Amino acid sequence: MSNFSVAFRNADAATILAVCGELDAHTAPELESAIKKCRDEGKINLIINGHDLDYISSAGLGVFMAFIEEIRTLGGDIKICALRSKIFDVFDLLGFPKIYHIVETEEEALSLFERGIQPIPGD
Amino acid sequence: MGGVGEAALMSTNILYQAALVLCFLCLWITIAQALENSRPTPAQIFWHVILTIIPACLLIILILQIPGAFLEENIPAAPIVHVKSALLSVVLAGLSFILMQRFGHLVRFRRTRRSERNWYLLLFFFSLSSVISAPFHHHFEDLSSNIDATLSIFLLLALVTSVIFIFLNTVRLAWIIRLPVKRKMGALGLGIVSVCFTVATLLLLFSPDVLALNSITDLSRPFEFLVFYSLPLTAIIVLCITFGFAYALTSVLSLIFHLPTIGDYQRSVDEMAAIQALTVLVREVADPEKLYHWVVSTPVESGRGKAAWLTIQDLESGSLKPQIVAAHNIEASLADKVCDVSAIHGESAGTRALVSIQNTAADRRIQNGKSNGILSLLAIPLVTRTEVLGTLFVSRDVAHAFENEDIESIGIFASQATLVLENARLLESKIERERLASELAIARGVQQRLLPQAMPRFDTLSLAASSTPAHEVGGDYYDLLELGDGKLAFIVADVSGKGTSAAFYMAEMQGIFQAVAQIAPSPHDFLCHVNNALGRSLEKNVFVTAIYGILDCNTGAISIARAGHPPVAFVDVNGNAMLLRSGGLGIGLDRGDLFGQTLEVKEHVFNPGDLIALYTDGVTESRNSEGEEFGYDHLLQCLQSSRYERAQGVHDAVRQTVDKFMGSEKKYDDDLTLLIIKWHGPEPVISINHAQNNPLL
Repeated sequence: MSNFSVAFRNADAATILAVCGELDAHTAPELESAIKKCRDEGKINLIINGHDLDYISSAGLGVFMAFIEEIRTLGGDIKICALRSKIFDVFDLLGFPKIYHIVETEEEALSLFERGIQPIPGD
Repeated sequence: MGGVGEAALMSTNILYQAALVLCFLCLWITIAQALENSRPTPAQIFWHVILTIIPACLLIILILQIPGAFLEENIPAAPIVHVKSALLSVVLAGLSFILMQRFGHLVRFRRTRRSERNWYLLLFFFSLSSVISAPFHHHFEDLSSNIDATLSIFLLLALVTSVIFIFLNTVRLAWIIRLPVKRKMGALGLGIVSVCFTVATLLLLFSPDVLALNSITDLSRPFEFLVFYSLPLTAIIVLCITFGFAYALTSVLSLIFHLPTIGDYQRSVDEMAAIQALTVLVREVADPEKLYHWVVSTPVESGRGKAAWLTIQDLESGSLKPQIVAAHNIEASLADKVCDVSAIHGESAGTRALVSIQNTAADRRIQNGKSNGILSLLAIPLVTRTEVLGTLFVSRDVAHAFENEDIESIGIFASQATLVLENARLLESKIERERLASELAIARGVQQRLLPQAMPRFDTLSLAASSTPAHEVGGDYYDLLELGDGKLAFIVADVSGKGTSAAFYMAEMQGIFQAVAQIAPSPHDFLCHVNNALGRSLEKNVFVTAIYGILDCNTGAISIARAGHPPVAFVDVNGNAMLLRSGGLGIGLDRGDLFGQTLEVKEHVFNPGDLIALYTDGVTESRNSEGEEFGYDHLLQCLQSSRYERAQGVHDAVRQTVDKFMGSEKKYDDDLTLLIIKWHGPEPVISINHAQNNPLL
């Protein structure tokens, strides 16, 4: 029934999680366990590719918040890329771009990791 | 004698017999109808038979006391002999009919088509024998034609067939098996008495000598009177009483042969009764402890096992180790010590099949089985359609003690017990659900009271608001507070997520608003304060979005800040609509200084006719059946078109439009809150108090 999925892909600088479908209170645990899995495997440079994300609810946004502090303490980061404009609006309304790197393309996100650029709060 | 005379005699005889047959057929029908509706037990049937035979025999003996006998065969010594014959015939016919009817009940117990056929064939051949014997009446020696030779053969055949059917019907003893042991004993006693009495009746019929009545009866036996009265009737009577005797005899013999197996049968009856009791129990007892106790005590009490215990995997407590929840005839702690309950439970649950350990000495999962009386052990998983509830252990103090039949029986019991336990569990969860539902209803009432019960009233502006949770309780919040100096603080907030956890944060939000709004001089201070206070208690993945504003009700000056919340919708009197989107993070996103740094405050002064709408995403994200969202454009359009109304009218228009948009299957996915503030400006006629404070005048 779940119309949500996460696909893993490894790049040199980061692990890419391509999310697809609707991320709401029911499907949020899937993304949560996916990020948990990466963290447990020591993959702390994560890129969430939201190209195929159709919908995100507040519970879905909560998943990013749940891990960001810990991942950053470990020296990694979660960067978000390729959001559709409607989805980006949801992130933007809440002020996510002030806290997360939200970029247009996966390559951009990868290059941020390659260059070791951490988000500057309030940037 | 001439042929004509003989024929006349024959026809008279036949007419006489026909009349008799009709009379006695009536008697048969009367008796059948009298006994038809009763459904007696086997013991009652024997009892009735005895109670019928005793007075009948006494009557026969009494009738025999009447003087008068036969000089020689069929030649009466006195006219009284006719009366005597008739009386004897009626009594004996009545007795034999009652016997037939009564035993017929037993023969046809749990009837099948075959048994019905045999029974009616028995009656048919009895009647046939009787009919064929009719021409022989009073003519044992007189007739010597060759017809008689053929008839004799037919009569013989009919009689032999009757005897065969007597045999076939006497072995119909289905009632014995189902009889409980006490009733069996009772039936046996009464059966023996019935046999004795039927024998006595037969003896009385043929030779009353045994009863030492020879001196009185003038050497005539009752049989002779019967034959004298009617030969066909005699045939029926003798056959019926013979059948009665034979049936009573086979019943008694069969009961005696069944005695050794009564114990086994009783045990399975007890087991079935126990299962029955268990199913009744589940309707009355909600306490699982009692059910567990029943589950373990039944196999022991039915004699299938020496001790029994039950393990349940309690997933709610988070422990995977099965716990012994009940034990019978053994201490739970001892059972746990002697046998590795987890390992055996694991095997039975894993394979979903019974584990049979016929000699525990050879199994490493059982320690010191011999000294603790556990030498054979069965472990039966209690398997439902979806899961394994637990495992029932049954042990015996002898190795190789469980026969296939025991295993089968305990298996059947276990599957019944599973049903019962699952039912109890479902019942419990239903009760739990109902309890939760009523708690939630209470919570909803509490939460509704956290929202303003009435809108404050002002001359310069109108207000309208509503909040509808998607579930019983929600995470939306709106409130208004008069701060003094004609200032009004207002807030609309949305806790991420839905349901109970969101409702708790919403309540916290209300407390903070009521306390902090009074002392915070600006929306910026207020929201920073909220971020600090809530940041400590919010879970990591939960945030709150809010819009907070302060409106000067005298001047129309408004300052407003947005913390991650959907933008304020603004419409002026000319119909210009816009979204006021100032910067600001959601509450809880950042617990440091970033929140305050990014939070913008917008200032504005209302013109008469301006209105703002504060709402939660439940409004803009409402979806119709095609999955389309209501969106900002719809909202702004709706506000524009209803902008001349007072706040309540605008509010109602928006809610109605949203409902209409969602269509017939209106079901809110998210909590939905809407607050409309409309500025009318100072009235032409105003109070003196206001006039002094209003710088515009």
